[in-house]
Amino acid sequence: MFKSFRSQLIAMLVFFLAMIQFISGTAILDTIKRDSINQAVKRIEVAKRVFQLSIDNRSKHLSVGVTLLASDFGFKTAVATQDAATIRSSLENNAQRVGADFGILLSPQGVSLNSTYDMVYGSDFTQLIKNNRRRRNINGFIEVDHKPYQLVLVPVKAPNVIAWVGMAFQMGNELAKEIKGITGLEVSFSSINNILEEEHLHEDHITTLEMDNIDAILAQFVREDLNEDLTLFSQDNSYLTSAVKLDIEHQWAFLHLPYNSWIQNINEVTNRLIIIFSVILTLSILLSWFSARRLLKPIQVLVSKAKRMGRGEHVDIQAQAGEFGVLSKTLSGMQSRIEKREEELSFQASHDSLTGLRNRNAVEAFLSSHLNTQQGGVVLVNIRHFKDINNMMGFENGDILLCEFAQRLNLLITQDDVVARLAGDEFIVVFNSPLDEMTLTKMHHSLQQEFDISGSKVCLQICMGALFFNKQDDLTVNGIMRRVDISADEAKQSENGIAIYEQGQDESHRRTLSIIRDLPDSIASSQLFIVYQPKVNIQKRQCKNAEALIRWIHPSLGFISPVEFIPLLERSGNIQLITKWVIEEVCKQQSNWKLQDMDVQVAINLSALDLIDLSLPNYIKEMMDKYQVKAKQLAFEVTESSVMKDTKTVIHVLNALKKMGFKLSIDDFGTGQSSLAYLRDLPVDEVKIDRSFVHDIDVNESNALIVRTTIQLSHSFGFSVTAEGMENIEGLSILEDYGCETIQGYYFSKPLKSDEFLNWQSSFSYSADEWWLESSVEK
Amino acid sequence: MFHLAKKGKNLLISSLLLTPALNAFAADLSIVMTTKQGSLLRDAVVELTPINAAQLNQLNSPKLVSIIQKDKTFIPFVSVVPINTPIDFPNMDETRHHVYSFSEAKTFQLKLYIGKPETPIVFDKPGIVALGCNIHDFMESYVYVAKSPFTNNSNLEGVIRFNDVPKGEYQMSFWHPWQDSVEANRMITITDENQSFQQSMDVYEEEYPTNEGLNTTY
Repeated sequence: MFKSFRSQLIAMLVFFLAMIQFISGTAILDTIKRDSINQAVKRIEVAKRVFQLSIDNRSKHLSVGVTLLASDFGFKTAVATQDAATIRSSLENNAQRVGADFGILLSPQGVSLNSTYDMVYGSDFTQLIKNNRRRRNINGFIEVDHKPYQLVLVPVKAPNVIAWVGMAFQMGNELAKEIKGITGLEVSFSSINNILEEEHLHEDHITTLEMDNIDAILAQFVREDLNEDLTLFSQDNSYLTSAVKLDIEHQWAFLHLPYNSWIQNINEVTNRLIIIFSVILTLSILLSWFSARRLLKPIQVLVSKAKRMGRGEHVDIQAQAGEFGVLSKTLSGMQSRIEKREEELSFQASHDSLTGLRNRNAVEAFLSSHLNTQQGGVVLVNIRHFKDINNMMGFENGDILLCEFAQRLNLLITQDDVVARLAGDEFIVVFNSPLDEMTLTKMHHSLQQEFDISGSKVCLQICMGALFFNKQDDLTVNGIMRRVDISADEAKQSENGIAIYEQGQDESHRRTLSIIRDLPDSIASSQLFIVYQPKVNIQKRQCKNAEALIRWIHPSLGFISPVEFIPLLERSGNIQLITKWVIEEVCKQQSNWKLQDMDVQVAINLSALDLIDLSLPNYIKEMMDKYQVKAKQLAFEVTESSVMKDTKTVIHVLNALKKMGFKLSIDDFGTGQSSLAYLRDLPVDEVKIDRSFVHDIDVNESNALIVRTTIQLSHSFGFSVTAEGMENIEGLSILEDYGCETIQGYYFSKPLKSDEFLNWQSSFSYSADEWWLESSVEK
Repeated sequence: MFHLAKKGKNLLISSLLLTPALNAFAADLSIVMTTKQGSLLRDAVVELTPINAAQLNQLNSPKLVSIIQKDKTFIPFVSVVPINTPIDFPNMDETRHHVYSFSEAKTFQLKLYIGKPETPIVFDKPGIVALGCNIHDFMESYVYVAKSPFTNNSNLEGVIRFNDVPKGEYQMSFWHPWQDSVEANRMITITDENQSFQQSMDVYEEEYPTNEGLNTTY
């Protein structure tokens, strides 16, 4: 509610104003209240004095009358002679004359002798006399029949005091009315005993008030410990009451000042103050509302403009005066700077900073908006060996070259086409204009023209992968980019440096990817397993060796040939994982076979990457210890090409393996470019002649020649020879003639699972000679 | 003061005359009267009543005593007289007086007279007679009519003297016009030796009644 500055400002103002008003109002009311109480108390004090005065007046008035009576000789004579009838009539007469309630004659000691009112005999006057020993008039109060009387006693002297004569006024309604008439205050007389019970109260009161009122007030006085200075408000504040002690025990007079009108006055003032204050408050709220609006208008204008700026709109900001002028200037400056920066950012976001061409994001966005065209296509242009050029000429010149290259690319395309730089030496052109192979060739040609960089001529080797839109179904940006990437890879291999994407390439690529991706999991989920192909010694006609080969049944792709996935694994670097797995599996199998009294040497293939892994010998040792396998139970085969990569390290590892007592073979011999002479220095024991030379040895004379020469040469170096891929009995006899020691091939057996291999081997050892008979082919 | 002195002199003379003739065995008695507060008390009356009634020797005819009114004041304030003493009330003022008494010992009125009333009034009963004037309420006087000859009132110094009181036992009674309470009687034995003692009385302090209400000479 009070979030906005304006409402906060107003709330604060109103709060302060209300506080000031509240405080001043309270102070004023408090002063008025106190003043009115003071006045009321003063009035009651005055009334008290008036009350006292009228009591005194009455007693004076009485005195005169009674004194006259007391000094009357006839009366004296009557008293002296104790003439009761005369005394009584004279008392009555006198009481009537002065308006007294009763007349009384007392003995000098205060014993009642005669009276016009019989109840007086119940009262004790002696104390009154005793307290006023002198023979003078006594003004006092006496309680008769629980009612207070004002009494004047005068001695009857003859000339000594022979009696007291007195006249009394009741402190009753008349007096109360009289005093009320003078002072305007209500008057009560009442006999209050502190321990008096409530129900006794009524009869003992004389009051000008309502009886109910006086009860409550008296109860209050009794509670507050009645005394002469006590002045109290009644509970409903309607009366202010002050107590006056009469000279008789328990007899009190009370003066009640009606306070209602005072309260009414105070209430009126309060109401008026509330009205005045609320009017002021309302006015000030309105005033502050309007003035705050006026004051804050420039800010609100700026706020709304800033909001629009935040939404990215361009806003015109008028210059303003004062502090808001500074703010508006700052805002407009900010806006222009933000706009400039935005432009820069969006340019940078969509352009390559070096060449000024678009970048990948931009070209992908462009592509996505031009997918549905039937003509045109995408061309990915790669500068080959650009790293070497950079090294040779320096990065600065490399950058210049890239810029020149970009310019040339730009010149080669029409306005509808877009060229972008994807990476350092990789460019892409999206053709909206018709694209065919001719265009590609022309483009390739012109890009291969020499560049003049700082005076030196540079020729670039360019390869271009292309994709024609019209031959594609399912066009997505990602799909296009992936496919054109595949064709660019293709282009690197092709002779003319140009490759055009053909249907299916993408799928094989995806298969490759999934092979690489799934292999690590395949071990755990036992999709991989090992088969063993027997290696038969044809001279001894026995099988004591086998080669461990890996097989993979992929859950979705089915059987995958090692020829397909091993190179992929070599490329992706996962081959070591597989090799180690194979080593462990073979060791495990050997320990199993040992239990079944099986004695066979299993050869494991090592790839080029395995051979530069210096930790490999240790791993093998570990496995051998774990499964208690001996060195002669294992052999290792390495390909000719792998040996040739990092010869030093390879030889080091091979030597280590050799030292451990393993038999080492050169696999696939004849496919590489190395010569036998080169192999001479390798620490190997065996050469395996590649199946491409062996499988048609019976019909291909040149292959037979190669095989024979290789065998002879190997023997001359001291290597034994294994021929791979021998498929028929004819080949067997030829190889036997050539002196080949071992044959591995489908003629004997395809690779077998461990159990099958066990069976095959035992059956072979029983009937080995049958394999050399013509009829055995049918087997 | 003059009158009191004169009266005291008279009493003194009369007692001087009496004593040697009556009894050879007698002694003097002086009593100092004070209030309970200790100040000297005048006009206190002490009456010595012999236990042996035979000791009371009645005078044949008491002498005439005067209580005069002068300046609207009875003089003296207290008079002590034996039974049957005639008292006259000479009026020395220009105004008339109306002397009266409602006392039991003697009730009488002398209505509005100037000068000396024709016959003195005989106080024939023992007791205290309060005298007033019906015209002047403030006028006041007391007459102590004593049975015993050994009755006297204290002088201005509060002293009462009894001369030549015969030996024997006496009851002593006290009275004062302003007494608050009656002082209890006392017994006293008169021997050959002179005695003196102090006696206090419970009286309230009152001004002596005069024309102006206050007489500074007292």
